[in-house]
Amino acid sequence: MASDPTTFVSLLTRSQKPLHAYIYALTLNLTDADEILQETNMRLWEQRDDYDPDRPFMAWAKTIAHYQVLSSRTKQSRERLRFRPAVLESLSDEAAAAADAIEQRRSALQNCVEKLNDSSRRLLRLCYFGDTTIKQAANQLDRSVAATYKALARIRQTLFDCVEKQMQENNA
Amino acid sequence: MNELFNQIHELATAYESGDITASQLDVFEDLLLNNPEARRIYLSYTSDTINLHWQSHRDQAVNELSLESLLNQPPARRPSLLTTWLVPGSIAAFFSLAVSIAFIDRNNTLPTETEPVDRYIINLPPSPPQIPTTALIPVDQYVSLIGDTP
Repeated sequence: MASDPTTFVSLLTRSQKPLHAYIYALTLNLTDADEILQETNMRLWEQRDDYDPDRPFMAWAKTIAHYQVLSSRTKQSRERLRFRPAVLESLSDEAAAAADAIEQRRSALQNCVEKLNDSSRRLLRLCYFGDTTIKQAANQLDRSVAATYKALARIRQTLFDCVEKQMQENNA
Repeated sequence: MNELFNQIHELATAYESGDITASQLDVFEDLLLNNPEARRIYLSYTSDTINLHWQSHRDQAVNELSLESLLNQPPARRPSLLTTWLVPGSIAAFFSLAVSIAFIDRNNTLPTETEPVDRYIINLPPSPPQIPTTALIPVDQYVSLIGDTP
């Protein structure tokens, strides 16, 4: 039995970030992930009558997202090297579980970002907002590309360690 | 763990920018297929990237709507008395005057010789109000209506 449109839209809205995380884990490209998320949303809406409200929405949505990731590979240019389908299959289940836990990491990450200094936060914003590449960010910050890569790696390592620590404390 | 994280970050950055080499991709795929800890770090890393991405968008949206940005905006212009009443009033008055003149001119146009007589417009004075005349009824009918009276 299909769910009513209002409930369906609510489920679809709440699933956006986990779906984005799931698609990104399989594509490892934010631009591709954005496009595939939009295509997945269209497919989900078109097939809304097939959705059984007694089953988890995310499991159904991720199945469709997975097919969208696979079909997008055939459309994309072959010039760029990509993961083999076997890697995607291997990652899929764990990526789905990680996507479900994304909200738990979000609050921890937010706390950890607040502990960073201003220049680190600025670099994060440049690299993860919009289409700014690390090379463009280096230009804007008047730094060398190598130094920017190193700085970003250091920040991500700091954040990762901080989030892991907070998650352990929360689960203890 | 630091070394493994750095390795994954380096490979992921190269992959995302499209600069990854075939040999680097082999290493990356081998890690993801055969090393559970590498897979866990990779999925945490991608989750954090998405959270940072969404956080940046949210921060941007919040900043755009912040009180400071609202206060820095120029105040909305209030319409002046001239634009509120005077201009529309003048337009309405002019329109009314034009319609009145057109009506008067049309009704006072003298007939020309070429116009047929049956299309003349004749201005008549307004008809007087109808004054009801007093009802006159015969006495016997009046008596039958009100019955016997002393």
